[in-house]
Amino acid sequence: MKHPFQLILSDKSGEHLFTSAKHHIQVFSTATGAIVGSWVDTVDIMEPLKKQQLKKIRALEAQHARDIKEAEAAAAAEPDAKKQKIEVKPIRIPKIPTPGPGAPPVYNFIRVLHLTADEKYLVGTTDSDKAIIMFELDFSQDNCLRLVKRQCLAKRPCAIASSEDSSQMIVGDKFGDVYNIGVTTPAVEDLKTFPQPILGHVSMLSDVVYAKHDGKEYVLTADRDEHVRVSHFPKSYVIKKWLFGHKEFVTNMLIPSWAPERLVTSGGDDFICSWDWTAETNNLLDTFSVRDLVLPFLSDYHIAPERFWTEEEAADRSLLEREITIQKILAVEKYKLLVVLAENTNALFVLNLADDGKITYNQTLTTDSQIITFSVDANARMYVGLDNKDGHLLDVYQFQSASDVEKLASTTMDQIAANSVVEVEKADDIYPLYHAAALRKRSEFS
Amino acid sequence: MSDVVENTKEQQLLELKDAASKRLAYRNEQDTKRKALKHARFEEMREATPESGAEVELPRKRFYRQRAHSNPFSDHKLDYPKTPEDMNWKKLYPGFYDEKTGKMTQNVEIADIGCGFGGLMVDLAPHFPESNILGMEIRVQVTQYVEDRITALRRKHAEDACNFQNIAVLRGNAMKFLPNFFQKAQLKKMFFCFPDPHFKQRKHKARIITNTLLSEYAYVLREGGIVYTITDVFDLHQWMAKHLEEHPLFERLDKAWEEQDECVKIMYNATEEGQKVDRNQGSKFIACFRRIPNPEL
Ligand SMILES: C[S@@+](CC[C@H](N)C(=O)[O-])C[C@H]1O[C@@H](n2cnc3c(N)ncnc32)[C@H](O)[C@@H]1O
Repeated sequence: MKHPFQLILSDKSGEHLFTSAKHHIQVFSTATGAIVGSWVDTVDIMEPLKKQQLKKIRALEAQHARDIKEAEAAAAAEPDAKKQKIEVKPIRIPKIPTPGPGAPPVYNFIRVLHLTADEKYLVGTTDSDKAIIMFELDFSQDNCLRLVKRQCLAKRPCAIASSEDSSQMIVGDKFGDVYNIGVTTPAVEDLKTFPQPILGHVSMLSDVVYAKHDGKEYVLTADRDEHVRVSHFPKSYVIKKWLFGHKEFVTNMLIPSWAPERLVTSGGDDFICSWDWTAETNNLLDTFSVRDLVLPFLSDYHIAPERFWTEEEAADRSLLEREITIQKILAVEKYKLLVVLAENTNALFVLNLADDGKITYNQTLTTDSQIITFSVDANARMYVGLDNKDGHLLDVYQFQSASDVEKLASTTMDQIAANSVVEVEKADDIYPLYHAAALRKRSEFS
Repeated sequence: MSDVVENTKEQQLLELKDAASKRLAYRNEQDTKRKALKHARFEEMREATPESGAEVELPRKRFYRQRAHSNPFSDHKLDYPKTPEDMNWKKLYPGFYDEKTGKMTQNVEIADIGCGFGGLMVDLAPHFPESNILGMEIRVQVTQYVEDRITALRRKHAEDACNFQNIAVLRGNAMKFLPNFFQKAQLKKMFFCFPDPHFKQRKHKARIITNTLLSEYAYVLREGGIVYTITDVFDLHQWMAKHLEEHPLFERLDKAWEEQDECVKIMYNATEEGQKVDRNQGSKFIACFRRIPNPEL
């Protein structure tokens, strides 16, 4: 059984699809369905644990040696006790914690894929050694992916952007710090000597975007609280402002190429915000409720985990609300449209973004299976990754105009799925495919 | 023998329970008082205590015990405004609310981050009548103590030149939600007095001064604004000084400056933590910094 694609990303021309499934990256030609590039993370997920273990053992050995010396010195200082045996506790080698039978499985997968603006580099993350991986793209080679840098971080990276000239990766981590990492500089081995973060939130970073306005560079950051911040770049210690409007975590930020002053943000709220991120005040231009659009597509999956139910909710389950999480918003540049995916649903909502920032409804597209992720190219072609067990992992749509979308019958998409080498034996072995909803903060004593 | 131990244990437990319930009862009583008083306006309060309340009792600290440390990363159920414009300052500084314009007549310009039991604000109050001073504290019971303390001070000194209308406390996580409370360049002074040291290397990001948080403090501070730090932990002093020195938006103020500054003097002795250090004959380390203008961007 083919493992569904967890991430898909097309280049502007739509010639290539960059995909990930588990710890594999595969690049496909959309013309033939052939694999034109691939990379597998071979670092054992236990590797960092093993390293830690080794450090601990070294420290214990050193301590042991010191203990012996001290005991000897003490014995020497007390001549009466000469005959006494020198007693020093032997070291106990700590075990690497191995997950027991009931423990949650450890998943090792690629969480983010990013293409630089010039499409010279593909950048991703690893779980195994919490690294940023940078590939130079060269389609004249058998394998278009050439790993040029692998930089481990102290905390797991979870958002990537890049500077205009593609020389710097702007990487946000799980603890809210953002680092500037050069492509051509050698990787830093000793993390103690790693440069300081260029900015930080005290909350998990959920998205990072690079932007330019009036000749000045900025970096926009969003987090698991509801904060969206605009900082200057590269002097990111100068904060321009916060954009206030969200109540829940923010999963994504989008600056449409045709309106570089606009910003569209969404996440755990049942609305989408549209901003003028460059204005000094009154940044929020519109909030568009997706509630009525999304609700019909939600299931019991979207209910909070049981341990967070109130007594009343447990007694009367009809009180339980299905929660909306917007997982992704992308733009169809050619027709100035937005496409919105609510997590773990089988619908895509097409919206219009007017020049004044107002958002209006355009149409809804539905698929046969739940949608994991999607990507749009510059020719208004949209690639949709499906949660499907029978091998139909991709749908393709073509926007013909701002109001007309056509689903294409594509055999190459099935060819791509068939060519993917990431297999699982049974459906249970498929990795968790939906991660955004878990960002919702809950209080167990509400 | 073991019987005796058992007995005393049991007794201790009872006493503990008793003490806990006493504290709770005391706080509940204060709670009711606080609720009755909190929304009362300045003038009304004066009426309520015509004789300038000689019998007004200050709250007693020992009834507000709480664990010494709290985790600044965890998601407490905190109440905070959606934006600084949404903040209802009238509730905290009723004496400076103008009913006619619906606006505050003066704003918060001084912040005491992690104010603890509030001693610094109390001592600063008479020196800055034209500025509101805000203490931010993450621990609930400590915050309630400071609230009760300020309410009592306001009643007791209603007729005095310094009537403590310009100080207030707010429960909040200063590391996460400062920008929700303050506008860009709103503050002229920020105090960090005896912050929690978080000794372990692994916990350094939990410290209240880090290079990334300093950028947020620089955002809410105006040019020329001052960051004051004081601690009895030499390591932490070095850490704070180092990070502030390295930050491009701050410059260190020298000994001569410290010696002539009124706030340094006040800070040195005013806080409860500082007094504890005195009792234990510890040392205190000071470092102050000026917010310098943004560079060319
Ligand atoms: C050691 S006490 C010092 C209190 C007071 N400044 C003094 O000198 O007496 C540190 C205080 O900071 C508070 N605190 C720690 N982290 C905080 C945060 N993120 N936001 C607000 N207060 C915090 C703690 O609850 C504690 O009361």
